Amino acid sequence: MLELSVPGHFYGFDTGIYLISAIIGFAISYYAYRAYKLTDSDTHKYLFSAFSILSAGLLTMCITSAYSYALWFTTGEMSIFSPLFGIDDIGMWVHFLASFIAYAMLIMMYAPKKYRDKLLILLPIASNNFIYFNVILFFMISYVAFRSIANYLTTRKRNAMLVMVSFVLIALYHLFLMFMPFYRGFYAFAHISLIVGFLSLLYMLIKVE
Amino acid sequence: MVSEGRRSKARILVDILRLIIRKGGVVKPTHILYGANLSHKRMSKYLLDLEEHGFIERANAGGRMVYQITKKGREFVGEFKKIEAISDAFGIEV
Repeated sequence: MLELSVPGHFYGFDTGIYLISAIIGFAISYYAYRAYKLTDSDTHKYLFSAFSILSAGLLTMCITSAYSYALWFTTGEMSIFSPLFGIDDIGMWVHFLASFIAYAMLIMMYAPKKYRDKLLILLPIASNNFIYFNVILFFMISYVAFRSIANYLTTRKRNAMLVMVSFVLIALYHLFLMFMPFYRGFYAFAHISLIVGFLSLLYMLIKVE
Repeated sequence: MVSEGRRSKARILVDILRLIIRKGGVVKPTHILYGANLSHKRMSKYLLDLEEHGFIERANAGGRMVYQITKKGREFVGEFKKIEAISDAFGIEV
């Protein structure tokens, strides 16, 4: 997968981006956990769970892509199971599945209480197709981004703007990945969107501290 | 005066602590009753809760019983402020 999709000049950068994003994600989940302990509310529980799962997925992607690059640098081979399905592919599907669960939780966090239970039933079933999976993830995170835009327009606060920017950029990450089969450069754009999105969350945390 | 409409327990506790801070750290129970917009029964319950957590303590001021905020109570208010800011940023209520 990496061999087929990652532009040569971007080798290794994506691993670093996954690692930084995962660390920031875990920092958000730590704060959300503190909030949950304080309030015992479902919304904070969803926020904490969503960022924990999302970060675990990113960390898995980081480890598997690092392993693949290490393998490529030493042996010239990218895949270990077969030429078409490498360990980085396992990492990618774990990352996508984790994102799916995390975005579902973020949707539950914003959705009215009476719809929360029904929402999971309505969520589309994940496909084993790369583009289709990204389409689903794009629409899921777009709902979250839409809610964060509405929150910013209501409050007009800097921190709300940073969260809005973050979710919009994470949505763009999936949008760029959707179009990656047409132009490999979109892989780099996608990952730049992802890291800027998470850095926006980090800036928000720093401002709060 | 703070509105009681749909406040979480954590917010009510913080509202009481903030009220005590605004009054200089020491306050009479009657001031809490009016300032926090709670019934006497609920106020007593929350004050007991705050005492049990070590956020406030009873003291004697000229023969009258008063409540004063503790260091732990001030730290709790500071912690809540951060949690409040992050929750606001995500558009969720505390």
